[in-house]
Amino acid sequence: MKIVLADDSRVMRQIVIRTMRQAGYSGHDIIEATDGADALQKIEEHHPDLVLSDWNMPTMTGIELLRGLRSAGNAVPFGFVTSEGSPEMRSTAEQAGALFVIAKPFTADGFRDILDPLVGSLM
Amino acid sequence: MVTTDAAQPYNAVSSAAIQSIVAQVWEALFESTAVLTAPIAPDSLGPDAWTASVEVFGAWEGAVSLTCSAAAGEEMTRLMLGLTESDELDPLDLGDALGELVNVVGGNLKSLVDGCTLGLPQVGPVTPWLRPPLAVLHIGWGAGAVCVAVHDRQNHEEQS
Repeated sequence: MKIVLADDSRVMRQIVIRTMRQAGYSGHDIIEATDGADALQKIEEHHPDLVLSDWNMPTMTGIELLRGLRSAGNAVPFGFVTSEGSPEMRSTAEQAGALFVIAKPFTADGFRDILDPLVGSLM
Repeated sequence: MVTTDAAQPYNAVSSAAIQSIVAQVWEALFESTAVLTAPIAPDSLGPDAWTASVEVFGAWEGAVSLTCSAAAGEEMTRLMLGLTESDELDPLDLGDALGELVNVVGGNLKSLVDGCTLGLPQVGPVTPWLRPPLAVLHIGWGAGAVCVAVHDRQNHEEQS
């Protein structure tokens, strides 16, 4: 599975990758992006099976990235990994087309609970 | 419990709330319990101490800050990156890690109050508090402490 991972924090990207590995998702091709604009470019270049994105990033936020993708007709499966897990934000994410929101701080079990039901349809 | 509540203009923004959030963060990122300790002044954490902060805007206007000694910051960064003591630590990663740490705490606190947005984290040298924060936790870390504080908007502007 090819995944674009967008977060302006390199440290958090490493934590996500490590946690995914702990959750049993090792061996996937993970393309890192430093913000929404970088992610958009990499999505267009690499055609991933899944996008994992932070919400609050400079240059282009995660929600701006998602809305941009959907308005361009790109239906790539998309999920947020963010500290901003309020009901209001989750509703906004869902309405924009996100499949899930994983709240920080997260655990490997949390990743498994979200991704396991989706993996078959993603690959 | 060694925390102070200077004021509670918003019921959701309380010492109990920040303590619950910090406990979750410490468990998830450091696999440890956030043990509260005696109060320590942030500007007493040494000349190389760091402060990371993130602002909240909207229905509640304030900020969350995290202050720690350089040694504590390095240890936390190593834990977040899964590095051993012998692994080389990029100084840029320290600022990144502390910024992300305050971002996670701030984002969770912001989620308690509807109608708020979160700024981007800022990291830099310690600045003394000019006014008491709304709430503060002093969390033991090695021989020192990590201070996690919640400030109202006026406090934060006076500090910048």
